[in-house]
Amino acid sequence: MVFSSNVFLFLFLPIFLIVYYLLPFKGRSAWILIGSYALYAWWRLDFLWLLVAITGVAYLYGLILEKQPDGARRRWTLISAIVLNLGALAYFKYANFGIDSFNAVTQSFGLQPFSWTPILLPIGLSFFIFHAISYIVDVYRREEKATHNPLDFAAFIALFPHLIAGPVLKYNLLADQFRSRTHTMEKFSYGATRFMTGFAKKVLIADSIAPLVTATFNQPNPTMADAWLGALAYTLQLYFDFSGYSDMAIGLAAMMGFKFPENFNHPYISRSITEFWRRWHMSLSSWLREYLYISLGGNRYGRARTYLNLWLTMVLGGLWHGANWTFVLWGVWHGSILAVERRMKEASLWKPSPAWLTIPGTMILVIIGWVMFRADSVPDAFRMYRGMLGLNGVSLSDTLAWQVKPSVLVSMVLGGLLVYLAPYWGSRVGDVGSRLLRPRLAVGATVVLLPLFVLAIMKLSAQSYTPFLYFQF
Amino acid sequence: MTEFAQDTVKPNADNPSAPAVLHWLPAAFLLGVVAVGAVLTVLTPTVRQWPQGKDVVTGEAMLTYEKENLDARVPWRDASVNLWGGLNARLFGEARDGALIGKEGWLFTSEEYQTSAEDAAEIQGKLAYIQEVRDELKKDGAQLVVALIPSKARVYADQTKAKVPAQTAPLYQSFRADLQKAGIPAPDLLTAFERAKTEDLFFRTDTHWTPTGAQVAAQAIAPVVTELGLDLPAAEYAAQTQPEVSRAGDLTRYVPGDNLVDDVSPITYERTDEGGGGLFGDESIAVTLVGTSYSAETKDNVWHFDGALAAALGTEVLNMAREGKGPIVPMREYLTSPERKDNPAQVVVWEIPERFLRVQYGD
Repeated sequence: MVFSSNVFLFLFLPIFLIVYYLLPFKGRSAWILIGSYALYAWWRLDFLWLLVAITGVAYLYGLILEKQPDGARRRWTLISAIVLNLGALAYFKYANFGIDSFNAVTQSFGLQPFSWTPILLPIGLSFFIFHAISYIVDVYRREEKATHNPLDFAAFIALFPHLIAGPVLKYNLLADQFRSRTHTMEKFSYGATRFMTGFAKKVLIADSIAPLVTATFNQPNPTMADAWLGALAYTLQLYFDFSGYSDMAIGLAAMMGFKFPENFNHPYISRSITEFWRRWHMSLSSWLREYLYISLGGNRYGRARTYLNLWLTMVLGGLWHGANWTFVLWGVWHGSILAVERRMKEASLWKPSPAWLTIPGTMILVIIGWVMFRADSVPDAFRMYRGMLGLNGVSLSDTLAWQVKPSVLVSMVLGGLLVYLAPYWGSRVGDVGSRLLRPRLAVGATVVLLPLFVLAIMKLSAQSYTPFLYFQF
Repeated sequence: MTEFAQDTVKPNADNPSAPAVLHWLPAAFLLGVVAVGAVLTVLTPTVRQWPQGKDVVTGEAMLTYEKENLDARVPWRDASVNLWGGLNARLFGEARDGALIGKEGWLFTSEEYQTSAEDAAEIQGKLAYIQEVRDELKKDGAQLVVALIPSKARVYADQTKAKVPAQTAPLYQSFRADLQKAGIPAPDLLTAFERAKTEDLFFRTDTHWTPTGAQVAAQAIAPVVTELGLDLPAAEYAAQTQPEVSRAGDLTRYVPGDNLVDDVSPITYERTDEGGGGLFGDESIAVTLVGTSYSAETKDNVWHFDGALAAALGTEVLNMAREGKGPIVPMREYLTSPERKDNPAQVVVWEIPERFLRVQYGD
């Protein structure tokens, strides 16, 4: 069940909110758990056991780790917990990929492929396993006490606003909120604003651009205009799809009195890839820094090791996004640039440059990466790169031209304007959620948002099913 | 400074400093919209029905319920389709996915513009299958004639705004040449249409041909059948032009709210001689027509291609065309049908619209 669907908006949400607000605080965690499990089971009932099992294992490991004294045995307990979680992730997410890659190698030597029934990837698996690992590691590091409240813990792991596509949250960010949080009309209104904003972003912009992205990435020999148009379209689609989802998640959480961390901070105005990763999918970046980069040694073992750790973090982060060599290469791309930028900074080669140069420069690097991220396979990505280099001609191909609709171009232009005007707007008016500097402008924006939300609902009903891009992860 | 973001929770997420109206208006609006939507949804009868025979454990039942009982039936669906369809048509001159708006009220199906890397292989596969059919029909002593219908966007390219992809430019003539090379007669309907296109040969608002278009095609097919030198049982027909009616074509559903129509005078064909034994009478029918909705007898069919063909050939035609299945499936069905067994044809006219050449039908 996706947030931008009739079943969520008009059946799940009203029932959930009515019961939630009728219950006393003590009963709300249980209701969150029931609602979240119901939302998950709507996809497939038979995979609910995996969510329950991951939750149970993490809870038990938390209790064990808390009681164990520091030492080798405790370390092995942690390792076994991580292996168990990553084992589940590896089996469901990477087994098909591993076998396919193995078969590709064996077949190239003329050997028989290994017979294999493909495994279905449970939705949200990467997210709830990351949530579980963060909890276990926090308890191991004694940064967080193990919870003795299985209900609150299960509700944290399953909390439906972040269950399926994030944000990736640490338990300590929400632990206190499960014990105590306030419910006010102001907070609910803030949540409603964020939810409606995210809904409009997803349905009115991302979904409008989606057909052009599909058309361009399906071009067998894209020209330079085809490939760049497709790459730009995907750059905008992904941003409005995922940041729209994050807005909806943050909004829904706020309607229940929770405060979620921000997940995006105007990433496309970044002036380096290093800055981009401080602004894009911030909850994942934070998780990678906290549990992967630091665990690999961070910058504690010299320069060369730091560069390697940066690179490895991004490669593994890429692989986390999906079991495909495209994601690995996307991670290699970002990891390599991060390492180079770090080296340049340390060698004092990084000179302050004007924004008109660094922002487009960074965007080109980001867009090149997104092509690999979006392509179905590595050869498909290189097909697009050949097009971007103009090796298949320059002007728009007539196989694509008829699919370039004016409404899509208008959506792209509006999306582009929003991407670059929103930071300016935020600095003048105050981002939603921060202190408002120009209250009248904020009221005006809200008044514009309300009919847009209704228009978005009507567009949702007029179009076919469009899942969120991040659901595949 | 680290390369990666830090978790940040904004301290004033509930915006206490915001103007009072922002403290309640978004909440009230969202709750109001959701409440109204929920009530309308629950009042919809299909929404209260759970799909039968679908598996709950694998999510099949939930998906069916969501897509078929809910999304397709929400009370505001038609209004939404009309609103967005109307907005796109008026603001951007766009139809919904599936059609393109041309000039002066002309609409075109997007199937005629679609291309993919697999097209060449698929088209070669079609050619091979047509040859198989020719060989299969030969077992009955029947000859195959392919009536390849040129795409509407090709014939009326001057009425389109979007350019038909260059990849498909030579398709009609090259496929027809391949058929002829394989010894399969295929009349040049494109040239016939180009000559007659001062009249509307296709409906402006429909994928299909007009009664005139069907007549032009039938008259182009007739000499090719005559050249086969067969002894076809004669039949005489009179064409009767019916009163003009307004007709909204099948492509108008892609442009909601525009009320586009075609004015058409349907032509019907009646046998005027004393024969006419029909399929179960004494007289056999020597010509069988197989094909798509361009030939099938349906309630929307005002073009009566089977009648036009019978009149042009001067013999009865057994119509085995089927609507909505493309050209391949009706032929497969015909080859195994009792009609073929009971009434073996001398000639089978297989009508194949050009746009279906690239479509994959599976096994």
